Parts: sequence; C-alpha cells; structure tokens
Amino acid sequence: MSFFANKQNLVSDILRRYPTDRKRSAVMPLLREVQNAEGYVSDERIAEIAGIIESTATEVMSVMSFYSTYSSIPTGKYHLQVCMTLSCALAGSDQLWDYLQDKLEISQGEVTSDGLFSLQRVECLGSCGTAPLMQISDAGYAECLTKKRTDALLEELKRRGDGSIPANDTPTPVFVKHIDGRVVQVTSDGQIAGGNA
Amino acid sequence: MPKVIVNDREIEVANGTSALDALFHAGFDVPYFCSNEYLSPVGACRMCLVEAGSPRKNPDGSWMMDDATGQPKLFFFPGTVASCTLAISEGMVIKTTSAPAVKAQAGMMEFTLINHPLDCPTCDKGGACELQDRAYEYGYGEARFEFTRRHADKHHALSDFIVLDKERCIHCKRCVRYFEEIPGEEKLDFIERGGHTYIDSMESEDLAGRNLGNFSGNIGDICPVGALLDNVARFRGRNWEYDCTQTTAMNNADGASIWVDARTGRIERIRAGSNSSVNEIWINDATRYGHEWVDADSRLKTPLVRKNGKLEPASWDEAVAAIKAGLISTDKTKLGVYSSADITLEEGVALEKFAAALGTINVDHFPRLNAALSSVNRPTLDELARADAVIVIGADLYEESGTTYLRIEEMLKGVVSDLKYNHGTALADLRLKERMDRKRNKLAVFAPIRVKQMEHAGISEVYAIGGELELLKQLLASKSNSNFETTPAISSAAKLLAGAKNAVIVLGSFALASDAASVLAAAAKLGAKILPIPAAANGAGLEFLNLTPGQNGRTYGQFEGLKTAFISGYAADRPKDLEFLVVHTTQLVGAALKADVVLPQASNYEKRGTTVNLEGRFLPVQQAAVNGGESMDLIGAISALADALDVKLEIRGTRSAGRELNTRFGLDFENIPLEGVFPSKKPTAKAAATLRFGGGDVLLTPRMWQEKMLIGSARVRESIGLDNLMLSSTDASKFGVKDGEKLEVNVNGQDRTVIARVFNTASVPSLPALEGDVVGSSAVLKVAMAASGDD
Repeated sequence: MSFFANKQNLVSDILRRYPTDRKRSAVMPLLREVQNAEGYVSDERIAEIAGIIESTATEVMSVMSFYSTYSSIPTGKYHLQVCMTLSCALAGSDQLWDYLQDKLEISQGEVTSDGLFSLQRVECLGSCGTAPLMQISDAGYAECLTKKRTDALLEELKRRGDGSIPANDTPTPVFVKHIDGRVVQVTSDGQIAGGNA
Repeated sequence: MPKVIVNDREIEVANGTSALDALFHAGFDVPYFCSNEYLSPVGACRMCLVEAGSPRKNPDGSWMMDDATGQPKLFFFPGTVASCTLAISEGMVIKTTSAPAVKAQAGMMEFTLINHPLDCPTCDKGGACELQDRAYEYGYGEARFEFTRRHADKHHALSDFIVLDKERCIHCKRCVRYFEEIPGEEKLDFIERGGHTYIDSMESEDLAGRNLGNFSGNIGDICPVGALLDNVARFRGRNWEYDCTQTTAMNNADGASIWVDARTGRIERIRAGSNSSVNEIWINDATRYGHEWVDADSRLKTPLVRKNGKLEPASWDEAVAAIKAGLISTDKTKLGVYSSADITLEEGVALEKFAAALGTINVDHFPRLNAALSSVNRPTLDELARADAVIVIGADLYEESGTTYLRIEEMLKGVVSDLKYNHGTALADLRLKERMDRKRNKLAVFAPIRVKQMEHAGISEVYAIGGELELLKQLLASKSNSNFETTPAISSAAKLLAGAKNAVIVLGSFALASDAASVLAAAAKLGAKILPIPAAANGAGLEFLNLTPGQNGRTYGQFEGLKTAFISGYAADRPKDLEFLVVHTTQLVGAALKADVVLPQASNYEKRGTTVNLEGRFLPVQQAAVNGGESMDLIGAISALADALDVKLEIRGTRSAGRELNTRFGLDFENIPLEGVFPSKKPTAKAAATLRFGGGDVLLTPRMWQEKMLIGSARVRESIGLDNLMLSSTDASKFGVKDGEKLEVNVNGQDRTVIARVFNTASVPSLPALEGDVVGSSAVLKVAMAASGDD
C-alpha cells in the first residue's frame, strides 16, 4: 500500500521547493506528511520516500532517527512527550514520568490499549519557566504539571479523544519574582502562575 | 610555496595543503581518527586540535605589523582548531605541543574514551588499534568519569562478513564516508544522534544475498577502533601473534596489494595492502574473505595415486613412480602440458622450458585471450583515474576487476589522491569532499546485460550479445562523422571520445572472451588508450612466455588426439580419449576426481614469484607462513614430472627461473618493489587461437567469487547463495521454470545447481544469463526440468 501514490499533487508541490538535482532536500517535509497522517513512519514508508527523493532507505532512516519528532514505532492519538532536561528534572520531571507510566500502564514506546496515549522522554522543550511540562502530540504544551493537574488533563483528553487539547491555562512566559520575601513564578500579566497553586 | 611554521620548524608546502599534512610534513604528530588518505576531511573526531594563527594583510596588500616585534602580527584562532579541515596560508603558525593544544587533545581523548568499553583484552583490534595507540600517546592515562558507561549491542551483524560492536564505535564516520566516496554506494549511515548514535544499513539484499556490496570489507581496515570486525577472522588470533606478509592478490588481474596474516600455519585474515598506484588501500570482498579454501579440510595436501580404480594418498616418490609407469610408453613430444593462468612468471618460464625439453607443441595456459594484451597502448590505473573520458565496453567491472571499478569511480570525482608529503599520501586532502558532484557524463558503459557501473554512468546502453565489434564500428563511424545515424548512447559516447584528450577504453570479458584479436584491433582505431581485462590473474605476464600451442598443437580444451596430459590448476572435466592424466591442483574437484595421479598444488599465498597485472606492472608475490602440507608449486610439480620422464631441467627453482627472466625483461626478479615496476624491455608477446564458445544459448557472466572459494568455504557459499540464472519471462516459460526455482542445469558439459530469476523488464539480456567462474559469450545450456516440469 503506497502512501504517496494518490497524493501526486502534494509530492510535486513539495519537490518544487527544491532544485531538481537536489531532490534529497525533500526528505523532511515528506517524512512530516507521513508522521502527521499515520503517527509514525514505517520501514515501508521510508523505502517509499527514498524512492521519491532518489536516495537510499538508509539515509532517510538516518535523517528520521536524528529527530525525536519523527517516530519509527506507532504512537497514540495523544503522544505525550515529557521534557527531562535540567529545569524540568529539578522541578520533578522524573516523578511526573513515573506517575504517567503508572497511571497509563505503559512505558516509552508503548501505546495504551485504547490507542489514545503513548509516552516519550524528550530533551528541552524550551519552556523552563513552566517546568515540569510535556508536549501533547503537535497540538501544544501542558505546563506546570502537578499530579492533580495531570489527572485533570488526562481525564479531559480521554473525554475528547479526537486529538484536540484544551486551551493552555498557563500563559507563557513565566517570570520568577520576589514577592513578600518569597520566590514565586508569575506570568507576564502579573498573575501567580497556576503551577504553584 | 607558502612558508608555514610548525612549532619551531619552518617548512614550505603547496597552497591547499591542510594544516594536518603540514604538521606531519614538518615531522610532528597529532592524534586523528576521522582523517584518511583517500577520504574527505570532515573534522568529525576533533582529535587533531592545534593552535593556529596567521598574519593578515592590510587593504593595500602589506602585512599588518606587530609594533613590538616589527614582524607581521599573528592573529590566532580562538581556542584550538581541527587541523584536518584547516587550509594553510602564508606565514601560518601551527602549535601542536603548546599547553592549550596538548590539553585540548587529551580532553578530547577523555571524551572519546568515556563510553568506550575496556574490553581491549578480547578485542580483535587490540594491539593494532589507533584508539589504543593514541590514548596511550595523548590521553591523561586515567579515567575521571565515575558514572555508568553507555552499553549497546556488541554483536550487530551488518552483513555476513561484518559485525558491528556498537559500544566501541567512536563515530569517526570513516565507514559511512567510505561507502559514499569510494564505491559510490550509500550503504551505511548514522542512526539516532548524540550518545545513542550507531551505524546501520537499511539496504536490502541484492540477488546474491549481499546487502553491503562487493567492497564492504574495507570498512574493517579503516575502522580506527574495534567496532567493525572481520567476521571471518573474528577471534582467530591476536594481532601480535600473526605472521604478516605483504604480497599481491592473485584471484584476479588487478594486482592489488594484500597483507596475509597467518597463525600456526593457517591464513586467518587478509587485509588490504597499500599501493597508491594500483589499489590504493582498497580490495574487494573475494580478495579479502575468499581464502578459507586454503585451510579447508577439502584442501589437498598429499599426492594421490589411482590404485584399483580409487585415488589413494601417496608420497611424492610413489606419485613419481606412478607417473613413470603411466607414461613409460608415451611419446614425450605428444604429452600435453597445461596450466591455469594464475601462476607466477617463474612457474610459467619453468613450464615453458619443460615443454621445450620435452619437445611438445601441446602446451597452453588457460583461460587466456586470443590476442596479446601488450599489443595495445595500455594506460596505467593512475592514468585511468585521471582520464577525461572512459568508455567501458563488454565488462562487468564490479565483478571482474574491483580495482578498475574503483579507479573509475575515482575518475568520476575528478580528484586523484596524489598529494605526497614526507609522511606519504596526504592525510587530509582538502580537494576531497563529502558527496562530491560526480562527472557522470565522462563515463559511458556498454554491456550485454545491465551492469552495476551503469548506475553511475552518464551514458549507458545494453547491446545485443556478441555485438561488440558492431558497437566499436559504430563508435568509430560516429566519432568521425557526427551525423552518422546510430543510437543516442553510441553517438554521445563518440562525442565524448572526440572531445577527450586522455580517453581510455576498458574492454572486459564479454567483449574479449570469444575474439579478443578483432575487438582489440577495432578498438585501437578509436585513438584512445585501451585497458583490456586479462582473462586470469597473470594473463598479462604469461603472454610474454612461450606458453601457447605450436602449429597443430592442442589448445587447452580442444584435446582431440591427445593421449596423455598434465594439467595444473582447476580443470572442469577429464578430456575424453585420454589414457593417462596427471592433475596438479588444490582441491579434489572436477578433472582431478578422474585423474590417474593428483599432485597437491601450493596456493598462490604459499609461493614466491612475480605476477603481472592488467596494466602490465610487474608485482612481487611473497610466501606467507601457510602450512600447505606436501603441496608444491608448479616448478616442484614439473620437477617430479621431469624425474618420472627422465628429462633434464634447466630450471629447478624460483631463483633459477628468476635468472632466466632477468635476461628477458632486464629486471632484478629477486627484488621487485612492492609497488611494482614496468620492465625496461619486453619480449614479443605470443598470441594464439583459443578455445571458443559458440552457438550456445546462455550468456555466462562474471562473478567476483571463484569456484574454489565457494567449494572451500561454507560461509561464503551460504552467504552468496546459489548462482543466479537470469531469464526473461519469455525464456522462463520456454524452459518451464518459475522465479526463485532451484534448477539443475548443464553448461558446457558441467552440471550446476542454480536459482532462476525471472524478469519482466527489458533490462534482461536476450539470452538467459548465468553467473560463474567461466565467462564467455555463449555456451550450451540444458535445463534439467524441475520436478513439476513436463519433459
């Protein structure tokens, strides 16, 4: 079963962005199409992309495996990518990771039986001010995660079940301020950030 | 030339030299892992760190001066820089021994070693490991890393011949670059990133079951650590236990330099040797892994004599007595003496003198062409790599001649690694780049089947079997008259030839097997240098000896009327009507099974002598420390024969053979340099009609692996599987066979088991094509019907 066979317009649109003798450059957008549509990129799709860009499956695999945003194994409807880098680690990302594993009864690389959730440890998501946080598929961030907020979030995601996520309740960026001798996180509009509640 | 100051030494090196080469040229040393003489410098390992600074010029062209010293002011790069990717400039100062440089090198070494396992005592590379040496020379000497090391798969098979130990890999990228830059096949790449990075391939297997191609073994040689391991030699010995002998490979006519590493009388490993004018540092997989037959159980190590219809082990004396008894009534002048053409010149001249002493005209070497290769103006392989047009006709060089294939790949890049310094070939030739644009339109490939090199050629065409002469005629016509009507490929190739100053035409076995004389004559008219691929390892040398049949003498393969014969080498079947046959061979197969006396033959790893490669370059063959039992080279076998026949021999050893050759070629055969030499004088080459295949219905195509390698090694046999019989769907239905079906076929009287591969495309040849040892334009194929077949 070919993925791109009935998407020739899309393929030629992507290839048009690059010089005709540099088709290899199209590897990223093609991988993105497959990742978005199928949640992961199978060996079969890798071979198909290699054929389109006149390269080798090895090279496509090499590019794909370099980026954590492509997955070589199936992912759930909500792919939870938990930041494990320094700020999040200091703010308890390890506990968050363990809690998610226990709660969802899956570990990295697995998908829940209902096909809704999968887990991945990732490096810095660039929002250290709202640690600990995770990215939900490509839909957005869930930040300042406590147990309570995590439970509520997972319930909400289960209720929706369509890949959409609730609006982010933690406006970023978040600043650290000294208020009454205490160190607190405040959002840009001066409110105390939700994660500290 | 620009002056460069390395530490305290001032040297002059050419513009474009890398700082790495400049500092080695000056006699200094820095550690490096990713640089390699024939690969692009990429600065991947960050080991060759130095401090470097250059003077700068004012807008008016004068040097910016340092007021304090009155000298041009030096502007140093911040911190340290990788010298392999830094080009020198006038007045550059390079410091390799300053405190910051030494600290940077030791620091990088510490990073490299952080996750490297400490399993040197069980590592095949131990003792010959660049990382070990460099860590000893440049490292801190102790580890400060207190945390758990990364662990990964230690036995990741990349192919049947290569095992990857992921833990040991230091990500220098030599192997990845090698595949793209040298054979031009992107087989490997980095997977994942950072500390998780490993090397892997997603390439699927080809028909022969190989996923890494014919040149995969070289990555084991260039791996600076013990990550890529030779699976054939794995755990066979430690590096310091091997007897290492540098010699010339004689499995084909490339003349590639190899190291034969033997231990306790067995060949355990073969590595590529370095000969910058021939194979550079690359050999194909058959040359590297095809040695197990030498030490296989099936290797003949004693003479065999037929007693009561059965071949029984015997001593040489008994063998001589049996030969004497068998030949007592024979007319010496009618004895047929034949040898395969993969013998040394010394053995050849001994055979020539022996035939002369017998007075027989029935002498021949095989396989050979019916024309002298030295009759055409041949290029050297360096000239081939520098050619501005290469036309390959009737050759599958990927299988026939790996070195020629790789030197043509080098030609496509347009850069020959020929920069020489005090330390040898440039370690970081800045002209070489990753993914260089290939000059594909400088290469035209014509063959009767689709061959590998067509993938890289700007011009290619599959022509009708046997159509070489017609192709050459059309090329000539099209070259002299651009309006001549022909196929687009021929007319483009003719244009390429007409516009080239240093064109080379490479002619392979498809073109030469049946009538080399006419093809060479036709090719010579095109005004280019011609590189014909010899039919066997020393075909280009033996043609200078008197080893072709005299008038009415019996050519090898056409034995009618012959009563007695001596055959040295692998012969497929016992000639009919023979009353007495002596075979001198390494394995009890083919004609040897039906011989009256079998003499054990020394392999080409077990002799001293000289061979001539396809360029006409004389190369030394050295004796490795291999226990061949009682086997003897051809000179020894001839001595036994002479004893049995009461013939007095002039040549009874390699030395006396060498003396005879000295006078003929004006060379000192005792001291042929390892890189080879072209002789000052050449005797006239002999040529004679040869056995011709004809009127058959199958195209025989070349295969890198020789039959004896397959017989002697279950690993190789299993790895490459059965030979493929390529059929068009029309032929398949004619023979009643299906794709993937195992078939018993008979080719030229020889039974073989093959696998049918049925193709629907137009790319298959007009006749079924069968790969194997024997190459010819056509032969007679009989397909024994499969069980389900009807007749």
